[in-house]
Amino acid sequence: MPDSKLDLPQGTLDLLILKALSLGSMHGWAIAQRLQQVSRDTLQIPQGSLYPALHRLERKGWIRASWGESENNRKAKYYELTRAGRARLATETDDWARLTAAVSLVLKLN
Amino acid sequence: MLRQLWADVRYRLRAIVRRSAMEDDLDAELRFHLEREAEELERRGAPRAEANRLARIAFGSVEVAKEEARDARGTVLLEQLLQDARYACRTLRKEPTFTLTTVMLLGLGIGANTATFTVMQALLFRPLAVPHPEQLMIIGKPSAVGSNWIGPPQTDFVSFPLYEDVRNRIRALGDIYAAGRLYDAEVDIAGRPAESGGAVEHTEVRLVTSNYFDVLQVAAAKGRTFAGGVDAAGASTPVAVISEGYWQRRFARDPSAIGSAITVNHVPLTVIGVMPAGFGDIVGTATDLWVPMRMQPLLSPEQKVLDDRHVSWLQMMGRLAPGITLAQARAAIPAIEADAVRAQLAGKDLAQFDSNLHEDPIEVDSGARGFSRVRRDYQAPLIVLMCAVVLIVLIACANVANLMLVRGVARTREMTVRMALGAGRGRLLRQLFTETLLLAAGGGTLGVLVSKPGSDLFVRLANSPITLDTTVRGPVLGFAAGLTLICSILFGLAPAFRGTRLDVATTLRAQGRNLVGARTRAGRFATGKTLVVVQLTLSMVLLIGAGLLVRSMQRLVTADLGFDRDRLVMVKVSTQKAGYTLAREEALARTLPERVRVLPGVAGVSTTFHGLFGSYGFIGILPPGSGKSASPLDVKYDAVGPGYFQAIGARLLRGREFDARDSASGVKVVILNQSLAKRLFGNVDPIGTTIKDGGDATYTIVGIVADMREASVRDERVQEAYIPLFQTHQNGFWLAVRVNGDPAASLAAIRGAVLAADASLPVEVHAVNELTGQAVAEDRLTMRVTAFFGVLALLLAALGLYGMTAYETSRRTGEFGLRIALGAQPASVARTVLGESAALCAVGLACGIPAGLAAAGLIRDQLFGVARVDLPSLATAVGILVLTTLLAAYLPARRAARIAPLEALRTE
Repeated sequence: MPDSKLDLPQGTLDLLILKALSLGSMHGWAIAQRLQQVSRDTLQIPQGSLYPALHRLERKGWIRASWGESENNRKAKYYELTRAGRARLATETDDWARLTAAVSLVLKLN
Repeated sequence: MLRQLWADVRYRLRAIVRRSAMEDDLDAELRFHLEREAEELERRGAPRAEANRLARIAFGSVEVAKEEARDARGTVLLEQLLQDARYACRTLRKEPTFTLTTVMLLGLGIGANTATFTVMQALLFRPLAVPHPEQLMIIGKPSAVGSNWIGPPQTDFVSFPLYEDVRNRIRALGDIYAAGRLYDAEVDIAGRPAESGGAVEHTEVRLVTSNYFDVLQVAAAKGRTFAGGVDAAGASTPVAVISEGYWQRRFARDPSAIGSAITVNHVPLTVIGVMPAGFGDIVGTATDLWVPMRMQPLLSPEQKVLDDRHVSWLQMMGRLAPGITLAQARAAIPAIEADAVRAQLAGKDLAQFDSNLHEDPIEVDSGARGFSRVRRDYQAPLIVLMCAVVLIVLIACANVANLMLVRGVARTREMTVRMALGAGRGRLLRQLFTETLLLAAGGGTLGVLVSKPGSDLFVRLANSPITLDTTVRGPVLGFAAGLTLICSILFGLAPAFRGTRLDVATTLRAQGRNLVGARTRAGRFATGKTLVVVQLTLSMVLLIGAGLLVRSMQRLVTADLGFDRDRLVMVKVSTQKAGYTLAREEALARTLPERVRVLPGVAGVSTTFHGLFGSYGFIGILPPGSGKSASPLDVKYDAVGPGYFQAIGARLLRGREFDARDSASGVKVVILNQSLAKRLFGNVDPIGTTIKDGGDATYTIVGIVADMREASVRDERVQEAYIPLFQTHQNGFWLAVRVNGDPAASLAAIRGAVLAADASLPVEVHAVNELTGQAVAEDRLTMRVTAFFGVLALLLAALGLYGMTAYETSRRTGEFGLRIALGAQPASVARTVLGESAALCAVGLACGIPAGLAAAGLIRDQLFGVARVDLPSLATAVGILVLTTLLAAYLPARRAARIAPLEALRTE
């Protein structure tokens, strides 16, 4: 049922990627899988948009990339959080919590 | 934050430099993703082909993902720029003639500017090569360096006792040194004879107080500088420090120079150090040797000046004390120095000093740029030159802009097609401007390369020697870069905008139909014509300026100086160097003229102390009828021998010359020049009356002589008095010899006659015009350089006109062919082409003449004996411009006339 899937609000993909990587280094496909599973398939994440986001985060110095061996013994590009990325994740999580709290507060008023 | 920025920049840089590696990475990464996804789907039971398809669907467009990933790298703009640069390089390589011409034109323009700026910067702006030059303060007039004065204290420079007083009184400066020039220094180095055969080698010796190097805070490059108290003691340890240039010139950079002995005026000194290259506190004049001040009495035994308050010859420089500002020092120091002077003066001298002080206050100013005598002399010529080279670069830019326009026409099709394919105008503009920048950068590089030889040439062209370090440094590079950018905007913007302002449909349709010329192009040639007019105008400005300067130079070298300049030879006899006593010198001054007089072709001989275009001096004269306390009038004077005025061809207006009567035992007599006689006596005949000097001596006036220009061709009505040579004590003198033929032919014979009297005498023999030539060296330099650039500008403008006319003619081949086919005479076709050029020339003249006359106002001070509106030079300039334009248009016109109609029409 594609209709029940939610489009990702602007800018939240970065947060989700950072969160996924906080558990350890992963390659792009694994990140996509993980986001899919954890959101129990409610989030609609076009796999193609994952890579530009990863490159942007790398440029910002929040994650770094290196080539490694994948679980099926092939070369894959692994990403991991940098110290700056970890700090970024903390502030973004915080911001997100404040934002959603504020939004639900407004919604409850009615 | 900063670290994040750095990471960002590093990432982008890597993305640029390793672009293809990153593309491969991206490919591999995406391929892995798709394969892994397909594998997963296959594992869940999908057949292989279906799994691949589903994986692709789930992923979305791979190309879009790649494009977005590239965008995410943040290098798109830079990559486009690099792409443009690569494209531009390719295009320019394909048109080597265009590229080379453009780069040469720009290189010439930028090079001329950079070279001039180098000299300006070195002479006018650059600080001394010492630590913290901004702390230095000069007390006195920086341009008076090397001068001296015998008489009451002056405001421009000081005596040694006054220096010591001032140094002890001033608290605003940390320490103050004094330095002065040792005149007529004769330096011998054992085993190393001066390389110039026979000619007297001039060595610049600077006598400095022992704290000199400490105040300037510069250590020797090799060896050491003065060790304060030890070297100050003088005679016990006579030492000298030499400059890097002198070390190179006389010691061939031999390290054993340090510790070796040299003699200065026969006094042995030990060389203890070599200063770093570029060191010195005088700009424009090299210093060869620094010798402690205390050596002065030994080096010039006949003129011991260290205790003499009447000999002012030193300039002072100090560093600001901590916490004192430049303004505070300037406010405090003059009063302190004036008080120090007043403490030693009384009566008339005090009144004289106070009136001097009023007219010519004591200057205290930043010493960051050092002392310089030539700075003042070359300031005006350099500014004129800078204006000339700015005009040159403008003309070069106009030329290049014209080339670009023509090229733009040839590229219309390329641009149209690219626009039709969807390239935005902004994108095309950016690409065209990249090309422009590349060309300009090429020109700028060439300009910097030629600037050093250019500035060296300028320094060499200056007759009187100026020594400047013309190494290309930061400020000069900055100037060249800025100029390059300005140039590229000047010559690149308009053609780029024009080149991309296209109506795609019309242009594509009109392609190849040239018979009457597409309407869209008319505007483009209007721009081309404007550029040609601009060039002609600017050339006219330069030609008018050059014409005026050439004319004024002619006047300068032929001006009536009041004596027979074309047939005079001056001989400098330096008796003091040969160790003459006064009695022996006087005998020589009496016998030498007799020896020279008998030479064939000699029409008159006499003696003078200051010489013509040699040195000069002043005496004080009390105006007649003035009271006891009146301050004397400073007038120039010379001490001359019997029959001097007749010998040099001057005009004695009244009374008599000096003769045998006027000896040391005779009545003191004086001859006034016309201006001084008028100043003192008005129209009353003063012959036989007496005047007094500042020291109460009385002189009887025996003659009046017409004014002469003895020190500068530009002198006007200088008041001067002449006294008999044998009634004064002097050191050294000049022989003035008037010959019948060419002075150059008799120089050797005259030298021989003088040396026959005493072979050990240092003698310099010059034709007077050679000496006056040195006096107008700056004028000659300005003239030569302006004339050079005038001709250059004209050549560039002619090239521009030729290029435009030739191109337009070839573009109108069809039209001319048609006209001829319809019966037009070839001559009338040629006339059309010539007529259009003539019209441009007329407009150029109409703009250029007023502009040139206005610009002539800027060089008014350089002009001599020529009015700003000078018809002969103006007519010449107009003639040259008209001839050049016609010549430039002639070739294309001839080609137009020879067009074969059938052929022309067939090529359409």
